[in-house]
Amino acid sequence: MKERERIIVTGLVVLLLVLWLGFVFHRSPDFAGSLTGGILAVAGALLMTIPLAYLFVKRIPGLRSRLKPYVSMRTLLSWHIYAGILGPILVILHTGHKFESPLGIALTLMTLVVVFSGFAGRYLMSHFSSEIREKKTLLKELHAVRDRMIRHLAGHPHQAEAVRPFSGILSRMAAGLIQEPRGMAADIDAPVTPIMVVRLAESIADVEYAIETHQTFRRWFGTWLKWHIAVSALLYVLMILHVWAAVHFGLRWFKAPTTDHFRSTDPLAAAPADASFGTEPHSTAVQDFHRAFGRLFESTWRPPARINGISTTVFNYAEWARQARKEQSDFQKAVAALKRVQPGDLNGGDREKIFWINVYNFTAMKLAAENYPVDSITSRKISLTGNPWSLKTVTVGNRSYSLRQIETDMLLSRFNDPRIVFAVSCAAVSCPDRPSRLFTADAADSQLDSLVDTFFQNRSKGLRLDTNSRTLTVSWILKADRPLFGSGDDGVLQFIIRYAPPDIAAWLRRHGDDVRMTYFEHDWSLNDVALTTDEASE
Amino acid sequence: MSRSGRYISASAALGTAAVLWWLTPGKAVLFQAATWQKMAQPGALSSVHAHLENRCASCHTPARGVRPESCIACHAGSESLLQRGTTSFHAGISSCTECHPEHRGRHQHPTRMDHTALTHIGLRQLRSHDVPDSESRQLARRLREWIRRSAADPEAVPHTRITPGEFVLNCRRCHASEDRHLGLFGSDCAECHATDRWRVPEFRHPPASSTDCAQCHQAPPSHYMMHFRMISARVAGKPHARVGQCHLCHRTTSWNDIRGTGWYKHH
Repeated sequence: MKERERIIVTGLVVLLLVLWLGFVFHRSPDFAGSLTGGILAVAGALLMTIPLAYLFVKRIPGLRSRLKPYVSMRTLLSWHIYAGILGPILVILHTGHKFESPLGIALTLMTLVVVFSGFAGRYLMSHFSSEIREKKTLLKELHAVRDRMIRHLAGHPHQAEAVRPFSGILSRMAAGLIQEPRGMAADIDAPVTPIMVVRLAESIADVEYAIETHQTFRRWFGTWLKWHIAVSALLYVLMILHVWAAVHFGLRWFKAPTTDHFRSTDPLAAAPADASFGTEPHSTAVQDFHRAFGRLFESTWRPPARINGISTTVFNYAEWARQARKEQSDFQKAVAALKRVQPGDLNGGDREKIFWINVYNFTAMKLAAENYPVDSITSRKISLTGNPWSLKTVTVGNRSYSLRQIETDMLLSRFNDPRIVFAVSCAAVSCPDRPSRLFTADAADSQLDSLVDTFFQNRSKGLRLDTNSRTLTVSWILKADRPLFGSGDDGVLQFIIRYAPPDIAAWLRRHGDDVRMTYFEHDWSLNDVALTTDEASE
Repeated sequence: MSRSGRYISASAALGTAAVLWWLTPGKAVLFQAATWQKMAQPGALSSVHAHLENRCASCHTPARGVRPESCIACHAGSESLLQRGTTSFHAGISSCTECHPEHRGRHQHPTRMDHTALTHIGLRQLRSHDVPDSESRQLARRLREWIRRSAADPEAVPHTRITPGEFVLNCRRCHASEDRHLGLFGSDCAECHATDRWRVPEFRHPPASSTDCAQCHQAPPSHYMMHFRMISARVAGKPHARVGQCHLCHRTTSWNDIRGTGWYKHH
């Protein structure tokens, strides 16, 4: 059992050495901080704390007796050994052979020192003891031969005389060159030659020296346990410092960005042009936006006129365009106020719903104003692909939004209210007519209801019923956003019945099952007062 | 050693340490946090950031690492970066360290373009949207799903030169101005190009004997002026050459290697 453990652990220590020496051939500066490197680090560090269990159980008497029935010291020692070698292997892998920082280098060295002190203590110590035992036996045998030889020489003075010249240091060293080598005398009566005596003396000296060396080593290693514990303590201190440094200076693989993170790190926020960001309370910014947009809206709103045969409220976009070019205009004030708004602080509810609806309408009109003269916001002049909804054209807070984002992400997916698709207007002729004032949060519900009511009274783009052919023609918006009104035609029909003029609603309730629904052609032309035809505006 | 002996040697050691400490020149350095923080520094900063060597906190926010704000604090006003077509994407990226690693040594420039990182940043930004089921989150989910599936099934990847992660990027968003084909080869750059180099390894220039140079090459403006007749054609000894007949004067080694004249550079 012990032999097997010894082979395995020796193999693992060699593996550790080989892995560590790998830095000669390979270095990966990114690996330690990567996700895989991080997992190795955490796993290795956790494994490296397991050996502490053995230390604590062994040194704390109360703990030892209490744990004895559950786990033996031998088992704990096995854990100590295997965790103590596997942990360092993982952390050496974690380094990716990047040994740059003084702390990292010290930590790696300490890890190796601790492993080797443990390995030496466990396996080399016992090896020394058995070596010394063997050598002492050998020495005893050699001493016996020496005693026999001395006795023999005492009986043969001429042989003793032959040995005498080799008693000096130099002559003894030269003996091997002068004398013929011959085997040790097995027979007690065989003549003792000088070389035999010299060889024997040398052998005894060698063995004595070996024993002395081994004993010195054993003395040095006698205190190994103290060293092992002291170096381990240092290792744990360095490890804590290393973990602290990694956490303090930032774990690269532990990147879980939140929305706030991205908003607050939008480069636009830090740009000098937006230096005033965050200096003013957001409520003021929202109010500023509504005030500026409201003034511009009311001053440019015109009552319904006809464009392409469709009755629609119109706006003076020439004035919008003029203000868009002028500093300190209501237009510019509205744009600036939006930049100061923090969307996260609007707290939901009607207040936020109305705010985003107004932002949408302002943005659509802004597109037209900034590119004026233009016949529609779908103009190629605004978007080459005829898709102005994806242009990130408005900055609210420190983030840019497209019309589609405002409608889908900020409104429809947060507020379950199909009236929103009527309230947001693409500044097109076929969009619902605008009331002469902006929507306000206080009267949001009634304003939105009234908007849809008015829209369904408009026979040129909202709703038209032909009872003879039983055909109901409704706005294309109802087709485009059909899923919002519930499933299938029935949902749309119920919505229509709810807002349609009473006579039509009553008819639809009776004949709803037997009505053909068609849709108006959506006219994207700009609801610009300049596009109204003369005879219609009269 | 007796107990009193131990006390004596311990206090002697402490006293020596105190005297040595008192004698240490430039002690102030030891009181600076940076001196100790630098013990954990994983390599020198690049030369452009070397002035920050002793100010870890300039870039590292405690526990949060290198946040983009730290970089933006200095680089926000960089017109050359933000107002140039190829690099203007930085304005909306909000993530720096993926392509700008530091502590790689004094002589390493801290830029390492990683298109896959760009994809991850883009997906992360799409996902960072407030609303759980918003359009951008759905898009991010679909893209990730596509990348995952394509990585598992190489057959499904439209291009072999780039990875599925790189494929979702729009090359032209940044490289439009580098298109030497003037859009004539379409916008699918990865049909021929890879992300690690513009050169196309399989491309073989037509043989030196070919004469249809003008199919791909455009003459410089000077060739459409009097300069061509008065200087260029005469120097080459081909007074009647037309601008489109490149092969009459030029050789394929270099545009300046003029047939019969040798290396010639007028300006």
